[in-house]
Amino acid sequence: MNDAMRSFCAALLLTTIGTTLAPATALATVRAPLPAPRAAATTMSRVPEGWYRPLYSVAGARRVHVKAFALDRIPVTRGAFLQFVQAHPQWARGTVLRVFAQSRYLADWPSASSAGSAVDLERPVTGVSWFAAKAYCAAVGKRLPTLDEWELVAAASESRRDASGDGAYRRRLLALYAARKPGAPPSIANTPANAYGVRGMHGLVWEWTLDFNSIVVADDSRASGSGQDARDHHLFCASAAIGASDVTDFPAFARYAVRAGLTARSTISGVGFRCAADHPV
Amino acid sequence: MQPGETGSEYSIYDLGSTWKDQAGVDRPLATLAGSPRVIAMIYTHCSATCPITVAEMKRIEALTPPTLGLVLVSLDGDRDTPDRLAQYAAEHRLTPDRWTLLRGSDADVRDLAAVLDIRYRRLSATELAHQNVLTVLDAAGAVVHRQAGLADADDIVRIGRALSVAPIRSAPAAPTPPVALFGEVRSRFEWDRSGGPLKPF
Amino acid sequence: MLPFHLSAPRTPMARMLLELALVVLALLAIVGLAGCGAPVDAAEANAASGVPIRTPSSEVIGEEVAVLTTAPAVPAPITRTHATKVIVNLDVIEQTMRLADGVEYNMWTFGGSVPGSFIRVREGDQVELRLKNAANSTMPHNIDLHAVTGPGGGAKSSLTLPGGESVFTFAALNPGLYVYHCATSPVPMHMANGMYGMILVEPKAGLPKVDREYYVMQSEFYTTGAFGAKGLQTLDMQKGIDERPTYVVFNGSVGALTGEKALQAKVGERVRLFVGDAGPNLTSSFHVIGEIFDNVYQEGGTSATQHNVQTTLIPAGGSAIVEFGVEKAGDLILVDHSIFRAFNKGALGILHVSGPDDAKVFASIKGLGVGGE
Repeated sequence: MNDAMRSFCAALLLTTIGTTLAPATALATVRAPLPAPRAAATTMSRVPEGWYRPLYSVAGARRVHVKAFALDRIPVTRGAFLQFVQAHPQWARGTVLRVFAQSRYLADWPSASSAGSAVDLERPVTGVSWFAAKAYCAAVGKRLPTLDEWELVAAASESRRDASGDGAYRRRLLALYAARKPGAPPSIANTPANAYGVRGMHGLVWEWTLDFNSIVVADDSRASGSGQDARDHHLFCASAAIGASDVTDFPAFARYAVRAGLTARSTISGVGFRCAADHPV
Repeated sequence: MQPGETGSEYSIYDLGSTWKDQAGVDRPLATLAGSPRVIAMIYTHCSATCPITVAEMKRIEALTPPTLGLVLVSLDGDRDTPDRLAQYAAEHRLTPDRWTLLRGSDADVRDLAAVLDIRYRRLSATELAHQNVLTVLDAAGAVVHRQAGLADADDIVRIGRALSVAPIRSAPAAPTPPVALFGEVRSRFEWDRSGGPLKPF
Repeated sequence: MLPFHLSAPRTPMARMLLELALVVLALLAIVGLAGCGAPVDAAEANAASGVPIRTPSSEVIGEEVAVLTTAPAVPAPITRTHATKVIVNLDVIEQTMRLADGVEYNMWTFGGSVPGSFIRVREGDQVELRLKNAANSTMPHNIDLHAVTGPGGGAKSSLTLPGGESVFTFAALNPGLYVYHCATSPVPMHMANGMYGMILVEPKAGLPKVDREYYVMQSEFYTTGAFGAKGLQTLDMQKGIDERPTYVVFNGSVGALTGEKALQAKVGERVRLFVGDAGPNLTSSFHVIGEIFDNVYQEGGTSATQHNVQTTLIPAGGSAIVEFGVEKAGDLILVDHSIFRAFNKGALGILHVSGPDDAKVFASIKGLGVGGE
């Protein structure tokens, strides 16, 4: 474990101490409006309020407003998640309730109490269910980002906060997605920071969002009405292009297809997460 | 349900959340255990598809033994107060011996919808888009069947009868006819898409 | 009416012969009646109308696991004479594969190869398709089989995350040669990365017997580097949108059907090619240099609709079955006759014909190599 990693884990321990096994709702009220710990400035980026254009418009709105929030600069690492399961053994592999995770929960770890080599500890954690990701964030006084929050930050290139109209950037993203190799995700080190100072939004893993399951679907309750958003967005074949705001945004289509396939219990080798908060924690 | 088919390896009741029912009583999810249930998520101000769902559940009620419970969980906890749920139950003649109506916090609604794999999104203060799904739980809270869409619920009636077969001593339910033209084979797909060890039918 | 007059037999022998004849007639009648009494096949009953309403087989006997093959191999013809339940185990595998010499590409595959595994079933079979997505895949995938009558060709029931499995069942109602492909969003990306293959629904009566059957599928690749640029290449979306492929290939790579991998036949044999065009964009002008197609089942249908054809058009997302006898030793060259694709982009394959030469079929008389000054 290098020094940077050690100090990061120490910072994590600081934020973990004092949290209890209480449910997320209780933690949300427990979160003290104290000045953020020194380490927070380096682990979370402030994201000012902004607008972004979702792939699928909601209720006809072509642009969505997102309130200011804070987002982890990097995805949660195996090392950090190991600390979490040590402090909260009910989330360890083998003991986690089956309602919260499918059978391959943390399956790529050597054992329930080891997340692998020093290099592995710096990889994004994967094979975690939505429930587990949510519990982790709650335990460190944070929460999962909403889909809108995540996509707002994902629209940033290294130099621009809104790079959605930047064809060259989109081509690079697609190349990043296409170059992903089966197996363990790469280390977070050396992934460039985007205009918010956030790293690894695209090159490493798919990431959970709080409302990943909010994509409007085939038999939605308004299907019998006439709303535009009652269209069938079941994401197969060219029907996925119907109603999308930008049919050339292949990277976004890929992300939405992943979300469409996920269930809250899914434990997929390519899916990890990072946490968000209303204010830097 | 096919012969030998079993429920999911997990119980919905392990979510551990606590709700309020139409009588204003605190209801930990686990208080639903003990008898099989058909569960749907709706909201009482929904005028498009929820009435169809509720009507179909009333048909299930009429065709199944009284041990099969029917549960409506609100997606709109803000407006669906216990009083509102009681009023809705009265309007639709949903009697408390068969029907449980629940409201909970946004976080608990999100968790339950997530584990039942029901996709939804708030569109405005008064409207939600959501998937219509009927889920059958056994007495322990394991998922034994899931039906998405607004099709008739004959399968659910059959399964509900089979789950309640002991008390009524009726003939066993007729086997589900084989899916011929096109059909999803559900057990491996809906319950554990991770593809762990497969359970035989 | 019987075609002869029955009068009272005059001798015991004659009577016995007559009785024998009557027994034979009765047996024939029973056989005939049994044929009539069997459940009426709605597809056949309706066929006369021109637009049949098909129904699944009323009797599905037994169960078997489909033998899948990697191109250019084709599973053996089906000898069964009844419908059965066929289980198709198809695994989605993402892996880096050769696109040309020194050129690699992260292919997304059905069964570990591009094109994907060839599936062969019989008209009327009840197919259970089990789609598994490898645990280390980076993407969700699904399958749309053009042979399926049902939502999304199966795609709506088969979105499968890495490590997952989806299962659906369908009746193989229509015979023919069909393309299948991944239809997960963004579908052009999944298809451009290699996710396609073919399923043959063999007609109940089977196909005419031939000596060789091969599976050939044309497709395009759109790479960030130019044709032949070395190293790992990735999808260039703009080239895809512009329909400007870098590669047009048979069976997934440049050279998949040349050199040691050339298709083989002997003089005097009958050859059938199951040819698909996966696209994603281009229509193929499929041609075999030095041969004439004796029969073409246009667009993969079940009638040999044309004979003596030089070049047949295969739509993207479509197929054709071509049959020909080989009469002359040597190399026949498979091309897309949109000829830059063959010359500059890879759409080239060889069918090597061995055996005794017949100068009557073809012989050079005068030219650079023969009989010149």
